[in-house]
Amino acid sequence: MDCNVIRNNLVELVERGLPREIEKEIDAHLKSCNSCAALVERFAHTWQAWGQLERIEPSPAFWFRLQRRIQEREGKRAGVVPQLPGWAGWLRPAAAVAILVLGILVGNYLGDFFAWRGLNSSGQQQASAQTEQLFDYYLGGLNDFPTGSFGEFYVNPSNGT
Amino acid sequence: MELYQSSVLSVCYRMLGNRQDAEDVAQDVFVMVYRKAENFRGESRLSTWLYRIAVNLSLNRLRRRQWDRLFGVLTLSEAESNETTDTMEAPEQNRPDRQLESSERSRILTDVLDTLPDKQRVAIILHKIEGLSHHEIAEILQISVSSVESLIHRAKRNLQKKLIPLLGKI
Repeated sequence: MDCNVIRNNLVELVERGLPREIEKEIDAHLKSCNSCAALVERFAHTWQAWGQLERIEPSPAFWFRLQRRIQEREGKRAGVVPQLPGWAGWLRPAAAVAILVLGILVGNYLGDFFAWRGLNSSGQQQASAQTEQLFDYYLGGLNDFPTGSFGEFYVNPSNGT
Repeated sequence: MELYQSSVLSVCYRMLGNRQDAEDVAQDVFVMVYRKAENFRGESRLSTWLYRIAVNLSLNRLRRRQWDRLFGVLTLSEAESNETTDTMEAPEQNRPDRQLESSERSRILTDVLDTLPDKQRVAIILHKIEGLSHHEIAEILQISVSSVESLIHRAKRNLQKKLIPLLGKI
């Protein structure tokens, strides 16, 4: 048997997780290979140290500190956020939804209002300027006709015709 | 709660590697349990729930520590814990359990354990130190039993690979 088989299966070997036939082969190899036997022995001892790893116990002040933290936390919660009864748990999400809907409605209203106002102010000014230009163009041209001319005859209604 | 304090503290200690951080996180666990007690529906055992919180909070603390290291920030708690390690741990060397812990094999095993990836470390700690079954670990980590088996198998492989070169030094 190759020594690498031993090296690659140390955990299974120590934990007895290998098939019986392979275990027998390994046992036979270990009897003839001192280095593998030593490796398996050292690994087995180290692997057994799992049970010796320290389990720490809390320090004497542990529960006192914990109790103080919980009391501080309760004090803060009672001071800042009022405690709601269990059945009123839906109040917070409902309030959040109501605020959201109100925000959308107000936004919509303000949007319409400003659009209407913008159209009225700038649109009106634009329209009156265009009318003025048209009047200037058509009527202003008549000023150039000489007195007693054809133009005066038609434009001046006081001539009796 | 006192029934489980040792187990919770032990898991935190194995995950975090120092007593100060372990006690802080264990306290966070019990505060959270107190706060969320009404959410516990009894679908799993209380110990499973406690282990789950302990593992999650320890992993969060480890991530925060890695983040701090990444940006070269030594947090106050770490600085304090280093100080307390220097000043408070020394007398403990005389305690019998510390002597046991300081045996070469335990030290090597602990050192190698600390090099494992987080999930593998959690799985092997819960299995080998806390003695939990694969099924219980699956509930705690909220993964399938086959994933737990895979994690433990990989953890053992990694430990074996890393232990072999160190065995000659014992």
